[in-house]
Amino acid sequence: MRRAAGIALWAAFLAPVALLLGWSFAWRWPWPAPLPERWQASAWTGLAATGGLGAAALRSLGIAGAVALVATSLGFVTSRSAVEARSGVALRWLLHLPFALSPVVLGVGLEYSFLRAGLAGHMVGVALAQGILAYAYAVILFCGLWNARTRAYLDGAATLGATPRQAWIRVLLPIARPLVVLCLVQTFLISWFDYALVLLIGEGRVATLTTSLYQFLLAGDLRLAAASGLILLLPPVIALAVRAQRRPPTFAGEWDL
Amino acid sequence: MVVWALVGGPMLLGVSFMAAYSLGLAGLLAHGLSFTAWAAVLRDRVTWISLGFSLWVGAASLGASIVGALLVLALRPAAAMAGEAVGVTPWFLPIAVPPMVAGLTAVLWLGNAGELARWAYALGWIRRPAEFPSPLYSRDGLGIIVTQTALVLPFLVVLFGRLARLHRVGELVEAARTLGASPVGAWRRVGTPLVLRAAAPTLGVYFLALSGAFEIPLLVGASYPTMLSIRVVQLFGQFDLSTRPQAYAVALLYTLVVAACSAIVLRARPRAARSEGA
Amino acid sequence: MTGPVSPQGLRVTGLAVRLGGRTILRDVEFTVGHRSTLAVIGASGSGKTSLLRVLAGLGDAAAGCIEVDRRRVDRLPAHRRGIVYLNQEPLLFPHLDVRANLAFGLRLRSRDAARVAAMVDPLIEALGLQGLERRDPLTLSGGERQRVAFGRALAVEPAVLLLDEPFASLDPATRLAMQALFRQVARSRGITAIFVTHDLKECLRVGDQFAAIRDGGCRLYEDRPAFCADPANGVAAEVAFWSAAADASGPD
Repeated sequence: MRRAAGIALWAAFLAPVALLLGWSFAWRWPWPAPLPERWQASAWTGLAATGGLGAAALRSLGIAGAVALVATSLGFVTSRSAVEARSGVALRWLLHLPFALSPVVLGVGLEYSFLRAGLAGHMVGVALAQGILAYAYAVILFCGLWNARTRAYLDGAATLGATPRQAWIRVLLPIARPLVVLCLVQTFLISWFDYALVLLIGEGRVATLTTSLYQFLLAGDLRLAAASGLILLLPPVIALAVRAQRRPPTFAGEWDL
Repeated sequence: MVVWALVGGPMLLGVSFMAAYSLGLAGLLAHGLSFTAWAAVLRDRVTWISLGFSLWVGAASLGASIVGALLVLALRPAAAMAGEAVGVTPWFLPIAVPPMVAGLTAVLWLGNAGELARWAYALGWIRRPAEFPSPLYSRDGLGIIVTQTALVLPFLVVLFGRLARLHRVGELVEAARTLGASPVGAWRRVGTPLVLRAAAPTLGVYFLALSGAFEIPLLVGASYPTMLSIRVVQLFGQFDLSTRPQAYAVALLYTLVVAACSAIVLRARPRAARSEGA
Repeated sequence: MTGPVSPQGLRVTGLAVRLGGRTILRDVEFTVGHRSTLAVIGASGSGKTSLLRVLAGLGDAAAGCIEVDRRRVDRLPAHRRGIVYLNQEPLLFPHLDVRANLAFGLRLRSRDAARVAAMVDPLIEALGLQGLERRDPLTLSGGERQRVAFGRALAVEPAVLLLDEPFASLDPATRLAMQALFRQVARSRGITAIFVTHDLKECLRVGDQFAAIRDGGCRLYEDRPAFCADPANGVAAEVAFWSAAADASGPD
């Protein structure tokens, strides 16, 4: 009974992926056939073609990688001042605002300034806009690191003779490592998942996986839309698979958002 | 301070620009101070319908997810809590799904020509795609609500499970049972309030985020009424600039609503964070 | 090597201790002799921890002077004072095994592996940690963890060791054993220490000199009899309790 429920649960979550796989390999799949009538792999073999899905995937990867690296390192370094700020509640509000606010509204608000700065329509501009969200997330996440326990570890290291620099490198970074990895993954995904900011700041000139998916869907090409969807699922699924292999962090801070 | 500058700076820039543009003080259509755009937006029924529709979709998606997640937690607490200790349960998977892909999957499964409609045809329940009772593109927002719930409910199962462990809800529910509460009563009077109180700020932010969703409404929402985020992009236009001041007015209106709501939601710090300072 | 009057040790004059913008201790004055242990008793919330944190350079001092071996240290950052603070909770670094925790302070001074081993090995033996060297700190018992934390502090040969109720969370038997171990190691290694506790018996067992923190001040007693004679420290009450407990009617 319990086992059956578990299998049903996995099936329910994996069924959507199966359908995407089916569509990405379908050649002819007319109504009302429950399965494709003919199969082919052109959506996948055409990945490397210039201007195709492969290029969009690489672009998404580059933007998300840059966003994750910059947001995580900046967030790590600046989060302590956020925890110790007197205006704690106001700062917490500000940091959550980009998430509560629709990314569309954020994009609309920033579009003109980015245009004037020559950043609209470029990958750099898109990455910067997404970076605001990712950075806010990183600060929220790393605030959990600065609890009494972490401070006690740093104090302990200091009285044993560690300079502030040594305490960071030999104590803080190793303790924070699980949290840093989590932050890298999550900020990567914030950028990887984003559509609204790519649309508004990219002005249709930056084609990422999400915008490609929507274009294929509009054009009625479900095969390529499904293939884009599957590529979009790849990094988060890999991250979850890696997480499944590991023990959860035993000494990292709590997760807020 | 760096954090204020890096997040507050762009936000302030965006807000002031939206204000200036919507009042005719900045941008390509600036002809000096004018309230025309604001008057048009505030007088337009569509603005208020969109706002109401956004809040309805956010509340319905979150409400359904909360009820569903609490049921899962009450019925199978072990399933939800095991996830933390041993890695990943199926409940984690929807976290890996971008909203754009969720929308696409909803189209492929639930659409009039989707997989479920094909199965219904094979079973002889329907003859034509149009006969399939698809929730997509419906004016009550059911398609958006169903899709968002499918994403959020599993996340809440994980979140609630984690909070329940953090606040020792399992032990407290057992304590309530030994004091004479029925299984249902213990969950209703002890488990549910504890979990919801601990999750309240996160749920508040989630409600606002769901109300401001863009990709899923874009893919599975009706053309009318639309969510406010869709309305903003419609008015913003990619080529026609004449309605841009109105787009900025609507966007600013929404920003003010969200800023006020999130200030209320986040006013109280979660208990765990507060007790830690000593 | 000890002379009749040693100029070395820890000397504190006119110290005021602040916590959260409020002065909680004033005019704290005492001298801890070289190689001796000052046992300080005080109730919870009396400011014991704050005093130790100020001495270690982790807290906020409003005024006063702290000298270690005739060198003024109150303006120095924590890592340059030569004062090690031992927390009530043995905060072993969770990413290092027992041996690496013991060697932590030595490695900071980038000493070569052979020298580090020469320092750490005797400590492992003295503290009875043989066989635990490669263990993850999270798998140790409370007593073992406290021994590692103690060893980690001793390894850097601190000029002064501050102990903040280090055995408070241990069970009575382990606690007694740790007090004896502390005495023995402190004597054999000639450690200058301040040992803060709220437990009267622990205070009398570990101390060479005695002080009490009470009513926003710190009182230093000239010797053990003087400490025991002060009714505020509760020695007389304790004696009365035990003699009444042995009576047929029992204590009230």
